[in-house]
Amino acid sequence: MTTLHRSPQVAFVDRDNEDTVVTAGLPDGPIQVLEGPTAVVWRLLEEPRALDELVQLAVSLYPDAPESARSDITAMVGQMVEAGLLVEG
Amino acid sequence: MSSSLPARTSGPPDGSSDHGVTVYERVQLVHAAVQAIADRAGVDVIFIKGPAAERQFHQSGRTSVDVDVMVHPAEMQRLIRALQVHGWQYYWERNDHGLVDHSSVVMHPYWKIAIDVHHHFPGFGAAPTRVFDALWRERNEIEIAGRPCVVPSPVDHALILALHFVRTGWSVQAQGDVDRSLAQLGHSGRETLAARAEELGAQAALSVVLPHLVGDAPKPAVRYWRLRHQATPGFVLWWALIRAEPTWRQRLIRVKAAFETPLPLGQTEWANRSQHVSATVDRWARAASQVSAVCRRSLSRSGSDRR
Repeated sequence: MTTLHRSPQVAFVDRDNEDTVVTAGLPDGPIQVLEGPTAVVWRLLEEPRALDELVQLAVSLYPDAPESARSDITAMVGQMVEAGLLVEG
Repeated sequence: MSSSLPARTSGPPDGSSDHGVTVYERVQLVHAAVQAIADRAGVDVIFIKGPAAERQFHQSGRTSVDVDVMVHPAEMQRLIRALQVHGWQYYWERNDHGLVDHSSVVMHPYWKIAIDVHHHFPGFGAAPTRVFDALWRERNEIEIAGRPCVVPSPVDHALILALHFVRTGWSVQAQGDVDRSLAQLGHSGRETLAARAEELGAQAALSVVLPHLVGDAPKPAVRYWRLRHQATPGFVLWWALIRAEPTWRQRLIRVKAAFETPLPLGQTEWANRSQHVSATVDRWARAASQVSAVCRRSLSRSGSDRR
């Protein structure tokens, strides 16, 4: 089963009172501002989680989300891995 | 790293816009970036003031506009070169022959933050190498921007904040920083701080802001640091600095330095002879005006004493 965690090559500042996390690749950037569901996923990965568990937890935070939310969030997590924010393993 | 999350993230890959990212957020991210560069280059660094002090002493609400990092004097150039490889540009060397800081400043067009690289922190009388080694032995690690960064021990950091306060002069913020850090050290921590000041030759400077913690310190040195704390004009400060030196040889070195005109900030050499001459004339005109003001003040004081 795939476990996801935050990349150790990424620094971040969590804006606690907002739905936003500011990240930067180390050591050269770029700075990326995670908003909404991407910030939620980042926060949920304070500890490593399996993909299924992560998606389920994220979807549960949006009770009014449509049926497609699960696949949307799965795709978004994939993009975060591609962007180097998250790593598998 | 790619930045291909347009629907959910935003960022300034070309550095052209800050997308609402505050200066203090960038300062924290740059701490993690500098630590990563230093680790890869195998250079020991210690972050001081700013977010490091904020976390160690719970100084919530504090912000910084730059990054202060200490490095072993022998590794200063290696760190600067490692930073340059990652696009940091050497901006200037702050060197006024001991009258102010001795540090190098580097900037980055993308991060838009300055890093002040210190190989010596004013107020410590011990040799810079000895000071760094002592700080390194007692170092701590804290998270800044989610990454482990090396900082001084709380006692050493409180001492550094107090010495910074001596150098910058009184302000509500600086006094608050020192008070909070001392309060968190507790009684035994403050005693350790006093012993550390003695070990690293910082009693003279420290006695200006924390006289109750420090024993006897050489009077000329205390006078020099008191004048610095009071933002005294350069001429008077130079005179006090020369008098504070313990040997004639060291005094002569200071006298020689006092006669050299420092390069303008951002320059590593004089643009031409006329710039050098003009800066020297300006400097001596300022000194003459300071001498004249000091004489006027003492005449006025002696006049009022007579009355």
